[in-house]
Amino acid sequence: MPVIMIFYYVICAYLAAMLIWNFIREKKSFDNMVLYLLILIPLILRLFRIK
Amino acid sequence: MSHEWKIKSVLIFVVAAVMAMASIQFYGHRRYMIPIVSGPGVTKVVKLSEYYEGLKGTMADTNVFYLEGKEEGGKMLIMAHTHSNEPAAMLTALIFLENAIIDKGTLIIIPQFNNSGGRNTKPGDGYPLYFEIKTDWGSKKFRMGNRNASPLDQWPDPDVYIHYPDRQLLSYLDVRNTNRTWPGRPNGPLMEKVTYGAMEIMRKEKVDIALDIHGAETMFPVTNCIVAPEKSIRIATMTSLTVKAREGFDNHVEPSPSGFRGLSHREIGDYSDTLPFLLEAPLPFLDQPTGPKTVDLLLNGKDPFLLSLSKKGKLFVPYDETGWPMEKRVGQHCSVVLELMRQFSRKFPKRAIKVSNVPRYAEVVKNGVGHYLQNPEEADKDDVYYN
Repeated sequence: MPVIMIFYYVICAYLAAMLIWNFIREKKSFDNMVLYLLILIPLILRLFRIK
Repeated sequence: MSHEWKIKSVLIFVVAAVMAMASIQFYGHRRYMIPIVSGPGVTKVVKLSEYYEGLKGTMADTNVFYLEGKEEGGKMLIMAHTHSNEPAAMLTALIFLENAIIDKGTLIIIPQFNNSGGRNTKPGDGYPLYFEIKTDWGSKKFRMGNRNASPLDQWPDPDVYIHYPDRQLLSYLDVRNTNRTWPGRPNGPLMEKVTYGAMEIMRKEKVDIALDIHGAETMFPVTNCIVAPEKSIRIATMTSLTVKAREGFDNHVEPSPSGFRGLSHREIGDYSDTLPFLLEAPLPFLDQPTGPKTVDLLLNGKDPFLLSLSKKGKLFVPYDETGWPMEKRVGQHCSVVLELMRQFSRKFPKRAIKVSNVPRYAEVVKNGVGHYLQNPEEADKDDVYYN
């Protein structure tokens, strides 16, 4: 795997972790919870290489 | 469990359920195989990876059909589905593939050139995943693809695509567009390997003439035309004039710009001895200001917004209540391909290519595209190829 790909996966993992953390911390806004989950989808698919 | 986590659990479940439903549809679409019946002219079928091994085992590998005549002559390569959201191209290729009888020369047909793009979609535009063509024996189902290869097969995209070998800066998306990655290279991104494989066919088989069949927006000036570089332009002009005079439809000639790199009609000519042509037929489905992107719009090309724009003179093609049905688009392509073949054969009689049993514009418009598609269930199993 080329170095640039490793960076992309690291970025994906970082963003996914941030989104999960924000989802857990969110207490009030229903809209934000949904948004965090939706944004998480492509990152999870990429991280787990689900085709 | 707290109230907050009950809500979160329900949300996670709903999102996962929606994701699973979409996944099942996309999974089925990506793996749906279109049966293609090899007609009386087909003499062999190979994979593109036979010309460049690096494609073997990838979603980019695709079938290459050979239709060889008894008498030696010239060679023509027809490529369709360079952009897999322009289905008239593939249907034209299938009409040739399933019907043509070769009297002289060789036809090489790649009906699904960007095979990965044919398994991609454009959910943001609400593209249908499939469409069906009515035939004399029922209907035939096709995948509706996308302009670019799937990111599942080639990822990540660069910030800017640097074209090889000219180093021109192109849009990042064009790294997955097989009409920007010509002439390709063996060690480049997957789509450059696809175009490299096609260049290898042209170089090794000494192909005389290469056709790349497309569709284009009615609001885009390069539509309803033949795009040709300097070396092909005489044949293109004669073809344009002849189809207008004999068959009554417009198909003007656009010169291939030498400063815009990566396009088939430019790079094939510059990097091989082959004469390239790119054919465009109007495709209202691709226009931006239309109603929903439905199968009806794809097949009939009827849209009230385009009709309104046409009345204001904003379109580059004639447009009325009849739209631009698939029959007209495929019929035009069939006639233009046959006429290019005839004009080439007149200019180079020793390299002539003679083909019969392929319908022209008026016949396709009258009988419909499906009339010329064979039933894979009735055909000999050895004659049916899936892609």
